[in-house]
Amino acid sequence: MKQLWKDFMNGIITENAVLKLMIGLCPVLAVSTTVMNGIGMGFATTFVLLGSNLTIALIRNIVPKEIRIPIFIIVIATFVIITDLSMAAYFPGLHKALGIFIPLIVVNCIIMGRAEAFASRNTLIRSIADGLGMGIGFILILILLSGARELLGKGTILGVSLPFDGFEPALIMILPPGAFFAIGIMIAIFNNLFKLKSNGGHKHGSS
Amino acid sequence: MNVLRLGFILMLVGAISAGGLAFVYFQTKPIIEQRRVAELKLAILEVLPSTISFQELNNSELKPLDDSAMTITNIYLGFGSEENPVGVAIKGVTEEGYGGPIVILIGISIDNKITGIEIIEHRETPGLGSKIAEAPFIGMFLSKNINDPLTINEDLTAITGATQSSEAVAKLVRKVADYVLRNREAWR
Repeated sequence: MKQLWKDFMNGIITENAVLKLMIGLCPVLAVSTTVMNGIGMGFATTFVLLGSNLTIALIRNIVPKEIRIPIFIIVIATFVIITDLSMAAYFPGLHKALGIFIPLIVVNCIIMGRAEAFASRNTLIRSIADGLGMGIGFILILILLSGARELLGKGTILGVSLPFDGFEPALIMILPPGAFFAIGIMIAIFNNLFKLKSNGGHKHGSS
Repeated sequence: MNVLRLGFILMLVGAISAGGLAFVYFQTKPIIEQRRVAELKLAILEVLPSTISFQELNNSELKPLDDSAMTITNIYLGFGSEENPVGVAIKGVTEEGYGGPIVILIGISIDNKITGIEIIEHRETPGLGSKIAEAPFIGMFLSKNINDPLTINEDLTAITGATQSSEAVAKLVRKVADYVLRNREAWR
C-alpha cells in the first residue's frame, strides 16, 4: 500500500512530468489559454495515460522485446483515437477548442515515457497508480497554469468575469510568450518549494 | 522465422486495435453526425432568421469566386412557409486571415439584404483579431444591401489593431455579395 502511495505521489511531486521532468510541454503551453481547455486536455491525456499504462502492464510479459515500441505506439494511438471520437461526440465544444492537440496526444512523451519506463516493468496495480499520479500531476499543473493565464490575460476564471472592476487584463498572458513567462515562474516556485533541485539529477527531455 | 513470428504478433495487436476502434467509431458516428447537422441548422437559422427548412445546392452548381484566396464551399437555400426561397446562406472561406483561414456563414435575404453573419472558424489573435466574431464588428454588416461598397474605410470600420483580420472578413463578404448578385436569378 505504501509502495502504491509512493508511485502515485511520484507523478504529482517527485517526478512531476511538466515541472520536474519537463516533458509534455508542447500541449501544456499551447492549450493553457483558458481553464476549461486546460481541464479538458488534462483529462484527455490522463485517460490515454491510464489506458496505455493499464494495457501495457497487462501484456508486458507476452510482448517480445524487439517490437515493444511499435506495440506501445499502437496501444497509445488506439486510446487517443477513442478519446478523440468520444470527445467529438460528447464534448463537441471542447473538442473544437482543443483541435489538433487531441490527436497529438499520441506523441506526448509523458505517455510513451511511462509506458517504456514504468508500465512495461511493473505490475498492473502499480502501473495504474503511476498512471493516475502522473495524470493528476499533469492536470494540476494545467489548471494552475491555465488559471493564471486566463485570469491575467482575460480577467476571467472558467469564463466568469472578476466580481470587481478596474483590472485591465494583460493580453500577452494568453499569447504564446505569456505561456513561457508563466511556466518559468511556476518551475522556479515549484523547485524552491520542494527543494528537489540539487538531488533530482538531470532528467531532461523535450516534447 | 523470428521475423515472421514478430510480424504476426504485430499484426495481431493491430487487428485487435482496429476491431476496438471500429466499434467506437460506429458507436460515435451517428452522434457526431447528428451534432454536425444540428449545429449547421442552428447557424443557418441564425443568419437567415425566417428560414423553416433549407436545401443545399449541389457542388456542381457552385461557381468559383474570382479570387484565388477565397472559396465558396456550400450554398443553402432557405425556405419559409412559402414555396419560394426567403434567402441564401453561403459558407465561404478566406485564406487571408492573420492567423489562418477564416470560415464564415453569410445570410442574404431575397431582397438583397445581409441578414446575418456567423464566423464559424478562425485562428485570429485572441483579444485582437478574435473580435471579428463579436457583435460590434459583425453588426456593421447587418441590413446592408449587397450593392453597398462593403469596404473598410467606406461603409465599414476596421477593428483597431486587427486591420488584416477585418479586411479579410470584409473582402469575403464583399465577394460573396457580388457572387449572389451575379447568380441570384438562378435560385428563384
